[in-house]
Amino acid sequence: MSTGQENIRKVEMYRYDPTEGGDGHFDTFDLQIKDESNTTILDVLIRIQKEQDATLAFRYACRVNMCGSCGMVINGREGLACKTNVSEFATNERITIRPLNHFPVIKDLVVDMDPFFKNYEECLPFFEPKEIVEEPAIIRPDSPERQAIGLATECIACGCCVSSCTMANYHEGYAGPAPLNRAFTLLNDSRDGLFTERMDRVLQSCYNCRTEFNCTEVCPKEISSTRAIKFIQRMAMKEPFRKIEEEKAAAEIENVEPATVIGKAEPVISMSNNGCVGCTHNQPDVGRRDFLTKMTLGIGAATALMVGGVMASAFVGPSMRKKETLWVPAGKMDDLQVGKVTTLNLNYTETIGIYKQDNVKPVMVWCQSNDKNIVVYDSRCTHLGCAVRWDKTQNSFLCACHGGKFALDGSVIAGPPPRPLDHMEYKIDNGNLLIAMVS
Amino acid sequence: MKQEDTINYRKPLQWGEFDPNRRRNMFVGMWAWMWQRITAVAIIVLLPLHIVLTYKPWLQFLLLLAVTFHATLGLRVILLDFDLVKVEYQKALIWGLTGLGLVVFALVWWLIR
Amino acid sequence: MLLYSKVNLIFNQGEPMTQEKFTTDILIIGMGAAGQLAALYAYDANPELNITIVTKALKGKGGCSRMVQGGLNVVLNEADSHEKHLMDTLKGGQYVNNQDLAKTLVEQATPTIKEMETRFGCFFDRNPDGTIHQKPFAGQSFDRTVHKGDLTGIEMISRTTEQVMKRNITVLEECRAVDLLLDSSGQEVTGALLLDIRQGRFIVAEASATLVATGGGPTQYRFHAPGPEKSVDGLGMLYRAGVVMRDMEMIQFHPTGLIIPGSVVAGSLLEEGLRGAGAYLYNGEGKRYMKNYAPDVAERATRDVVSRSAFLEMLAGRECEEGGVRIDASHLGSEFVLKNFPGMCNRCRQFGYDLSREPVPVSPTAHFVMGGADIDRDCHTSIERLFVAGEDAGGVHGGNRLGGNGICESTVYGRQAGKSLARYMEKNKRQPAETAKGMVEELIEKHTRPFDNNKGEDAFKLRAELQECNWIKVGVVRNGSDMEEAVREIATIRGAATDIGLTGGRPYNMLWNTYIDFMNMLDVSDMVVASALARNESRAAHYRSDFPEQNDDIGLFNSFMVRGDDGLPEISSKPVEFTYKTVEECRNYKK
Ligand SMILES: Cc1cc2nc3c(=O)[nH]c(=O)nc-3n(C[C@H](O)[C@H](O)[C@H](O)COP(=O)(O)OP(=O)(O)OC[C@H]3O[C@@H](n4cnc5c(N)ncnc54)[C@H](O)[C@@H]3O)c2cc1C
Ligand code: SF4
Ligand code: SF4
Ligand code: FES
Ligand code: FES
Repeated sequence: MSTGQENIRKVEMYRYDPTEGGDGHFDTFDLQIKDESNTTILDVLIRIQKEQDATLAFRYACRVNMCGSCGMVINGREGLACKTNVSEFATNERITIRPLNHFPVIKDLVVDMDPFFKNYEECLPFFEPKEIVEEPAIIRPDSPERQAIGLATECIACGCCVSSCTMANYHEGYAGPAPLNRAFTLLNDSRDGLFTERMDRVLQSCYNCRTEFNCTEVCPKEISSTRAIKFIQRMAMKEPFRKIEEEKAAAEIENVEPATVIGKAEPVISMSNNGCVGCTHNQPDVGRRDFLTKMTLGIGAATALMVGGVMASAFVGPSMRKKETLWVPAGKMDDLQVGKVTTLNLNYTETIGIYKQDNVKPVMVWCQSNDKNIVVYDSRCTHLGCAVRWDKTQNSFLCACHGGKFALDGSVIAGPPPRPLDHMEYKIDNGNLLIAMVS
Repeated sequence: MKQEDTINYRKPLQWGEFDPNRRRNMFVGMWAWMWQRITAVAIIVLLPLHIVLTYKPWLQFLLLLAVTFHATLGLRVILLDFDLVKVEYQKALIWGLTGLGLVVFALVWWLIR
Repeated sequence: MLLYSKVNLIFNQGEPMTQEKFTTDILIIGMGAAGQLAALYAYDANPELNITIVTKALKGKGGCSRMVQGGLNVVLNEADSHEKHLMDTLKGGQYVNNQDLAKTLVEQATPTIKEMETRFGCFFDRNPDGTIHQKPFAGQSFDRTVHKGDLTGIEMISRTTEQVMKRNITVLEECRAVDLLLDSSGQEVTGALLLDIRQGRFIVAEASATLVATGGGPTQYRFHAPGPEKSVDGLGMLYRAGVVMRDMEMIQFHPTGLIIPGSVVAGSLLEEGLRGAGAYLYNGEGKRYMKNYAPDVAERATRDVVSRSAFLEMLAGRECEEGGVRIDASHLGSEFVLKNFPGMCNRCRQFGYDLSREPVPVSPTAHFVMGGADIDRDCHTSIERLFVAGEDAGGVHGGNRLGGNGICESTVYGRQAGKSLARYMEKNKRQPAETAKGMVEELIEKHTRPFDNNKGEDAFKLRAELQECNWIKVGVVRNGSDMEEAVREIATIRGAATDIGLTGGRPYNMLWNTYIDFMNMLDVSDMVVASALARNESRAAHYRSDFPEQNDDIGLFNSFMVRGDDGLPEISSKPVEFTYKTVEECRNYKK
C-alpha cells in the first residue's frame, strides 16, 4: 500500500533553449509531493510543467515503460522517467535530471536520437527471410537458438545503455550496446538470411566492448547487452573457419577454376544470383583480415611487452593496414560490345601479411561508344552490398535483395539504395583493360 | 535541407557537464575494467624498474600486487568471454577472484620473504 | 538530422511564416501498426513509389500498437474457422458491425499474421512442439489469440519499424499532422498541414494519396488507457475535413484501469486475464458487488457489463478511498499470480501494491473508439484520395470490440490500405490536386492564434475540465439530461478555449501541442455526445440509464455524421446491412 509521506523536494533540471543556444544550465524547482511512492519522475516533470514552468520540454508517450521515449539521466544514472519513482531517492536528497549522454540536445531534456538509430541501422537490425515461405517456421521454444535469444528481442530502443557506455563515447564508430544486442538476436535467428553481412558489420564493433556492464546495469528491460556482445565475440572466433568452408563449397558449386592464372577474364552471360545470403562470397574477406590483423597485433604487442617496449607496437600497427591498389587484368578491350553492358569476373590474389587469398569479383562494364569510352561498375549494391546484375530486358541493373534498381548510368531508379552504383578505376594498357582493386 | 538548419542543437553531453550533483555511474563492472588498465600501466612501469633495481622488497611487493589484480581481473574477462561463467555472476566474479588473488598473493609473499 | 535530406523540400521565400513544402506520392499519417504495414505493403507492391510517413512521436514509439499486451485474434488452427471468428465478432459488436469489414478482418487476419512472421521477422510464442501458441481471450469460441508473452505490441512494432528502416522509407519524426488539406471543391484531399514539433514550424505536405492512421485513442476522459500522447487527432482532422463518420457513440471502457492518484499512470491497464483467472472485485464497503449485476458469471462478465457495474457502484458512493473499486487476486495464490501475470505484478509493484497478496484499486478506463471514418474493405472514404485504416476507421467492431481484435484490425487494414494505395497510384495520375487558395494560411493562423493572446486561459486546466465533463456525463453510463448539459458545457469550454494563451518559443513547445490536442478532443467530444443522444437504447458499449434495455426494434441502425456548416455534427441514420448473416443467426449464435 502507499506508504510514502508528504515532502518538499528540490528538483534540479538541465535546461537548454535552442533559440538562445549556449551550453545550457541547471534550474532548481521546489515541488511538494504528497505520496512519493506513487509519484514517478515523469509525474514530477508533468507537474512542474503544469504548475511552474510551461516552457519545460521533455519527451514521453506511453507512460508505462513500453515506448522508450522518456530515457534520461536521473541522479547520475540512466533510466526511464516513467519507471523511476521519487521514493527511490532518500528524502533529503536532491533530484537531478539531465538528458542522455552522447546525443545532441534539442531542448531541455529532449535529445536527438538519430545517432542511436544510425548505429542501429549500421548493424542491419532488420529481418531478411532466407527464403519466401508461406507458413511460419516450426521452432521449439526450448531450441538452443530461442534459448540463446531469450527476451533480448524486447529492447525498446530507449538509448539508456548507449548513454551509460563510456566506449560509445570514446570509440568513433562503435555501434554500442543496443544495436549489437539486436544484431545478436538476428545472428541467432535461423530464419534470417543476412548472417554474413551482419557479421561483417559487427565484427569491428564487438571488440570495442570493455566488459563494463554499465549497459546491463541501466537497461530498464533487464536486457544484458554485454552478454549479447560476448556471444557475438564467440561467434566471431568461428568466423574465419566458417568462411573458408563456405568458400570451398561455393567454389565447388560454381565450378570456378582454381585461380592459378591471376586475372583471367571470362565474360559471363548471366551471373549466378544467389540473393543476400551468398553475395559476399565475392567480396574481400573482412572477417579473416580482421581476425588476422588482431592476431598479429596481439602477438606483436606481447613480444613488444616482453622486450619491455610497448611503444614498438605503435610502429608495427599502422603498417599492417596500408591500402594497396592492385591492377587486375580484365580482358581485351576488343571483346567489349559497343553500347552493351558486359559482366566480367575478375580473378585475383590478395595478399594480407603472410596470408594469400584468391578472390573472384564480378564487375559490369558499359561500353558507351567506339572510342573506348567505358564505365566500370562495382557489382556491390550500394544499399547493403548484395550482388547487382545487369538485366537486358529491363535495361537496368537489378539487385535481388530489396528490389534496388539502377539505370544504365548507375543512378538509382527505385528501391532503397542511397546512392548510384560505385564506379571502379581502370586503365587501358595495350588494348588490355586493367581494373583497380583497392584492398 | 536538414533539420538543424533552423535551430541549434547542443552538442552531446559527455558525462553530465554542469550537473551540480554529478555522479558518474558507479558501477563496479566499470571500475573493474579501469583498475585492470591502471594495473597494466603499473606493471609496465614496475617491470623495467624491477630489472634495474633487483631485490628491492617494496618493489617486489608492488609488482606482485599489480600483477595479482591484473591477472585476476583478466581472468574474469576470460571466463566471461568464453561463457565459462554466466554474465549474471560478473560482480561475484570480481569480488571472488580478486579476493582469491589477494589470498594467494598473501601466501606467496609470506613464502618468499 | 537526417530527416529531411531525402525529402524534396522547397523553401517558400516571401512567406511571413517559416513554412515549407514537399510533395510525395503517398503520405501516411501515423506510425502504428496500421501506418507501418500500409507503408510496407505499398512499397513492396511498387518500390518506385515515394512514400512518406509522419508521426507525432519518435520512429515507431508512438501509439497504442506498441502498448498491446494481450495479443491478436487469428484463425490458424484447423479446428477453428473464419466463420466462428466472424460470428464472435458480430456477437461482440451486438450486430451493428459492417459485416463486409468484419468478414475481411477475419479472413485476411490469417495471411497477415503469417506474413508478420515470415516476412517481417516477428516471433510469437510457441507451443512446445514449435507451432504458434494461441491463448484464450474473453468472448471467443476458440483459443485463437496469438501473443508474445504479455508484451506483444513491442515485438510487432519493433520488427515493423526495422522493416521500414530497411526500405529507406522516409519518416518524419515528431512531425504531427494538424489538418488535412482539401482542393477548392472540398471533395479531394491534397495532403496535410504538418507541424514539425522540434522546429516549431509548419510544413505543407502535398500527396497524391493520403492515409490517416493515427489510431483514435479516447484520451478525452479522466481515465484513459492509451498514452497521453494520443489525442483523437485523426478523428478530429477527418471530421473537420468533412469525411463521413460512423458509430461515434461507441467508446469502449476497459473495466480494470489502475488508479494512482495524481499520477499520469492512472488509467493504464491491468490485464483482463486477471478476471478470467478468477480475481474478485470489491466495492468501497468491501462487498463483492458483481453478483448483484451479473448473478451467474459475476466478475467474468463482458467488459461493458463489468465497467458499467463498477461505475454504478462509484456513482452510488460505494467507492474505495482512492476513488474506484478494488480487484483482489490474492485468493488465487501468490505463486500463481506471479507466474501468470508477471508484467501486471511489476506494474503494481512500482506503486507499492502487491497484486499477488492484496487488493489493488481500479476503475473503468476509456480504451478504444469503435466509431470512426466510414470505409470500405479497401480503406476508401467518402472523399477522393483519402484512405483511413486502423482505429481511426469505424464499423469493423460494431458496438463493442473483442479483446484481441483491435491490433488485428490495425494490421489487417494496414495491409489492405497498403495494397489499395499501390493500386490507386497505378490507376491514377501521380500528381497531387491543387490545394484551395488561402487554406494553408487560414489554418496556420488558426493554430498560432494563441501565441498572440495574453488573456491567459490555461490549456492544461481546460483539458482537465473537458475530461471530467466527458467522464461524468458522456462516459460509461449516460442519460439524456446529463448529455444535454454536456453539450452546453462543451460549448462553454470551447468558448473559453479562444482565450488560451501560449508562452515560450516555438521549438518543442509542449504547451502548444497540448492546445492542438485539446482542440481535437473538443471536436470529437461534440461527435460522441451528439451520436449518443441519437441512440435511445442501450447497446454494447453504449449504456443509457434512461433506456437501460437493448431494443432491436429501434436499435438496429448505424449513425453517420458529417460536420455541418455551423461546425456542429449533422446526423443521419441507416439500418444495419445484414449482408452475410441475418439478425436471427447472430442472436441464436452460441459459443
Ligand atoms: C494499453 C492498450 C492495450 C491494448 N491491448 C490490446 C490487445 O491486447 N489486443 C488488441 O487487439 N488490441 C489492444 N489494444 C488496442 C490496439 O492497440 C489499437 O486498437 C491499435 O493498436 C491501433 O493501431 P493503429 O495503428 O490504428 O494506431 P496506433 O498504433 O495508436 O498508432 C497511431 C500513430 O499515429 C501517430 N499520431 C497520432 N496523432 C498524430 C498526428 N496528429 N500526426 C501524426 N501522427 C500522429 C502516433 O504517434 C502513432 O504513431 C490496446 C490498446 C491500448 C491503449
Ligand atoms: S559492457 Fe560493453 S557495451 Fe556495455 S557499457 Fe560496457 S563497454 Fe559498453
Ligand atoms: S538494450 Fe535496454 S537500455 Fe538499451 S535501448 Fe534496449 S531497452 Fe534501452
Ligand atoms: S513514456 Fe514510454 S517508456 Fe516512459
Ligand atoms: S542490398 Fe538492399 S537493395 Fe541491394
